[in-house]
Amino acid sequence: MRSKPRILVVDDEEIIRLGCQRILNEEHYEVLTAENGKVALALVKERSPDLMLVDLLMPELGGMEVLEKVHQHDKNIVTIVITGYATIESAVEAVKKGAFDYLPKPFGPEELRAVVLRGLERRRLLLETERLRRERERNLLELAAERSRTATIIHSMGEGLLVVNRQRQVVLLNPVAQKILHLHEAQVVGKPVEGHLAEKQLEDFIISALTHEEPRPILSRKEIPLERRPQEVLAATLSPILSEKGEMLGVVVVLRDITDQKRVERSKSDFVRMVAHELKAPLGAIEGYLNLLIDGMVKDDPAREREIIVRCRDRAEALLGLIRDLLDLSAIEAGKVAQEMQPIEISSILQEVVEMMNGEARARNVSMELRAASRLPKVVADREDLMRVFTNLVSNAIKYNRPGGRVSVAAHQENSHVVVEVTDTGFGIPPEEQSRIFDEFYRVKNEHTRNICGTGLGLAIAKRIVESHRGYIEVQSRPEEGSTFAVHLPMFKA
Amino acid sequence: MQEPAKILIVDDDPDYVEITRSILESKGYRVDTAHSKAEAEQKLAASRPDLIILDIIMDRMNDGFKLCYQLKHDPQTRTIPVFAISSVNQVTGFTFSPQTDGEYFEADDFAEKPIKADELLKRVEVLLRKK
Repeated sequence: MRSKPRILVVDDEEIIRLGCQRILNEEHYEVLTAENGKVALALVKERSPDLMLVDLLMPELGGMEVLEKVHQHDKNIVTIVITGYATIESAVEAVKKGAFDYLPKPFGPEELRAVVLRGLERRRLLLETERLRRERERNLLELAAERSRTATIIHSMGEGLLVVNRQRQVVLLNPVAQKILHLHEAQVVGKPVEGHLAEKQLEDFIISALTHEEPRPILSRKEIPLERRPQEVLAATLSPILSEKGEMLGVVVVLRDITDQKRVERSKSDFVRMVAHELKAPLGAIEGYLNLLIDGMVKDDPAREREIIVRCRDRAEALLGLIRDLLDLSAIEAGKVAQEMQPIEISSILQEVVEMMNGEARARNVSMELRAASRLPKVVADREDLMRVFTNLVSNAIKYNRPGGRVSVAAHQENSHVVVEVTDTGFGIPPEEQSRIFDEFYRVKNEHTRNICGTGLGLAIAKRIVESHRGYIEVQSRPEEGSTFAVHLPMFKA
Repeated sequence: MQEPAKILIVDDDPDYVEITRSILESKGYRVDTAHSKAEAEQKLAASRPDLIILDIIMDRMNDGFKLCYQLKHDPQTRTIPVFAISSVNQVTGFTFSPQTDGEYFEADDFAEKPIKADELLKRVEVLLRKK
């Protein structure tokens, strides 16, 4: 209500209007007057008075009708009926139409002041009630919006969320949790946690937190392999919900599917183990040979001694090669190799590789040929990288060949790719092992390969290099007939 | 005079075979070698050694296990002591041992690679004495 209450006096008798106005002005109210109902209604609409004194008997529009209409416009306006023909019936009717009080004429200034004061108090209370009602409505709206926002956040979480109350009932399960646990909300919400999550370890984990003797606001985390799908692993992070007094109210469980992470961790540790083993084998051999010399076990045989020293040197060289390969592999994996990509005529690289490997081929009595289609499109590549790939493939083709065998290197265009094929007439690769030869450290082990040195990393590195050039490598092989490794590289489009 | 004991080394690592052979020969043992399960089977068909030193991972991951099983389930060969020397634990990440896995791997002794010369000779001697 405004600081200076506004009062409308409606009466067809001017003397009453003026009298009321004078008395009320003295009380520092703002007073408006209207000589009939019509004018009164217009003023109500225009000036919104706080209180209205209204005569019942007026020409044109009577007081009762004014009361009705004015309350339709402002239900909180306080109306006080003034009339010279006061009857019980008219008083009752006026109250029914929303009048707050009834003041029979003639009335004195004191009576008027008193009834207006009461009326204005009534007005203040009505407005306060209205304000509170609006505030409550606004709060409810905000609460509803807040709830919907929270629900949206919980529904959009990338992690599974599960809330269990102290009665051990599931109270919330977001969609990710439903997916991870393969459960539907309706199956579990409101149900006891025991036996309803279908994962005993998870249920036990939650129950143990709920029944902890001294509840503390501490997060606990556990990795839980799923019973129903043992390949999958969950990370469950559990935090107790405590009251201000520290009583346990329930627990919030955040679930994350860490199956892929565990798989990566496993393959990393497998890789480390393989590396350790591959490093240990040559070092063990060198140590064993050195001990033979130190312990004098071959001391009367100089030729054998020399043989052993040469063998130690060969294993040390192989060890260094392995370490170099490992460093290269890790650099390629980490994307740290500075590639100098440029359009390259691939046949010049192949020519160089074949010339470089000729000595080794002759030493093993293997013939080599290079057949590259004329006017081969260029590829965008790092020269050193491609040298490395083709040297590895040609070197393998010579090593895994037979005396009198042949290695042919051919290049041609196939759709949008340049394809280089390195073919040998060697022992071939057993079909069941073909899919694994690009794995790190995988080496085909049989009587043919026993005395061939290698790190088991060459093809793994070649594959990564080719893939870093947006190409791919594949193998076709028949045991006892030979193998063809084909490298497909996208051709350069100017 | 008693003939020196004959030992068959079965291992696909040529250097390891050479080193073991030299150690054993330095003590006067007669040594024969095989680089695969198949080669070992051929050698065993031709003559019976007094002891077999056996690698586990050869051409196949479980060649050593298989060969040992065959030897220990064949009345002709079951009494030949088998000394398994392998890096199977390092490669596979298993924690294999005859104490826990003796039920299906009945080797008479087991050592991790590499094994020192004096340790090898000591254990070979024990196995031969037991025979």
